[in-house]
Amino acid sequence: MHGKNRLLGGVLFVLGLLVLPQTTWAKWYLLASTHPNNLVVVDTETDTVVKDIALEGRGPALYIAPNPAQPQFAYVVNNLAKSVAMVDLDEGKQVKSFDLSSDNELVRTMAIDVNMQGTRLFVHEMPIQQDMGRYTARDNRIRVIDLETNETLITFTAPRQVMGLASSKDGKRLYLFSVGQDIFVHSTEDGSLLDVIPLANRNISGIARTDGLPLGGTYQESGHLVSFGTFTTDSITNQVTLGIGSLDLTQEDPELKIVELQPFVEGDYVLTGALSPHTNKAYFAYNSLWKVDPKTRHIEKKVSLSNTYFAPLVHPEGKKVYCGSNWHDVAVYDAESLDLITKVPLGHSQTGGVSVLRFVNR
Amino acid sequence: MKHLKAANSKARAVTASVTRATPTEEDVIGMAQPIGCTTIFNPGWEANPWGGASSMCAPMEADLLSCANLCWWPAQVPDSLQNAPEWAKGCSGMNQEDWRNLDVVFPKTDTSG
Repeated sequence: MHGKNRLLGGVLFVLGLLVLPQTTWAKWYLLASTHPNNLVVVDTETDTVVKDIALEGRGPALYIAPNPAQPQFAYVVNNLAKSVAMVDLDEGKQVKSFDLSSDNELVRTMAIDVNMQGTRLFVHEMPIQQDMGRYTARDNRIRVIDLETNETLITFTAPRQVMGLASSKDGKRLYLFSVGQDIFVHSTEDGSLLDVIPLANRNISGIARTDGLPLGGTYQESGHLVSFGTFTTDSITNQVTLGIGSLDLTQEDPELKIVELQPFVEGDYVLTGALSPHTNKAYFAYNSLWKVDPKTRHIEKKVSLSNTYFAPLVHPEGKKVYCGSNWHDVAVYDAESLDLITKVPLGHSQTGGVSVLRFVNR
Repeated sequence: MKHLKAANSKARAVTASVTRATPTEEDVIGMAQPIGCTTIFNPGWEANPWGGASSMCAPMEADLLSCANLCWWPAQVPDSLQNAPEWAKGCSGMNQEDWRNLDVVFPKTDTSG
């Protein structure tokens, strides 16, 4: 009888595990694209490298888009920014390449995204028509690829200088982030422009302009919260103030929230920021790592970094901050105390830029 | 000008000049990264946002591949997407000991004639 109870208990325990959402038992891994053409997988429980996947063809490996619905797969821009490689993380190899260029058109990209449903790959394309002795810059566009058939569904004209893409949680809207512009919102069904969210042109008295760009694209891992450092210029004094911007992509019509935090001054400044959805603290990095409370606008903690790190990424569980993007390691800090926990050597340098570090739940 | 009609050759030349000065198509396009142009219009490599040189990337090599591979400042750092793709081949690890293997890039010259 005692054995039967134990067996029944075991069965119930296993059934209980099965009905739990995947996120409660799966582990978070950090994906890091590196020079010359590699994708490194880091177990964030042990903060050790578990896979170093050499991609095919030319590098450098650049921007990463995990597939949230099928986390076995991730998409990585490589081949001199002319292709998107589909990588099987379990098998540790590249399984497909989406080549963007054709015979008379050179196409490069700086921004890709996969929707939460795992059905669409979005690629911002910058095409150049190559004729005999003449290059013509063509309109930039978004290519929408069906990930079931790997075929292009539609392309539509997009703004230039786009360096970040993010899709709404329901997959209906695509947000385009660029240098020195507003945020453009397009329909993922027909590509039509649905909205323009003022960022550079907020039209607020006393503010000349606001600059901001989501340099770390870990929004799906952060409950669909896009957050980034902002720089607001006073129209009279020309003084610049550092702030944190955020956009909740679970909302149908999200409001861009910008909180101005600290004067942006020479000698002690940071460049990129991220907001923790768990504690609502803002983290900034460059040559030092800051933790700022947006409510009080005070720097709660500041530590020097051993070298420049371009991006602070908040771990999806909120307890650690990963600094990296441009160095041959990733430095891991305690999100509360900012104590250095460890450094994860990647074996190759990262290439900087947008979305070269992403988390995946596997 | 809209409601005036040029009556002599000098006036017609003024009208033509004004028309030329306001072309209907853009001839300068920001961000044409694919052929080695700069990604953005920052003032320059290794100058901070105030034009000074304090609190720069540390060490300087922390910024090299990021600038090269993103074609950020191709005049100052080799553009490894288009014109100098082999530039960093010798130091793929970018650890401190192999920075010396970075290649030297010379401007391309036309020797055809």
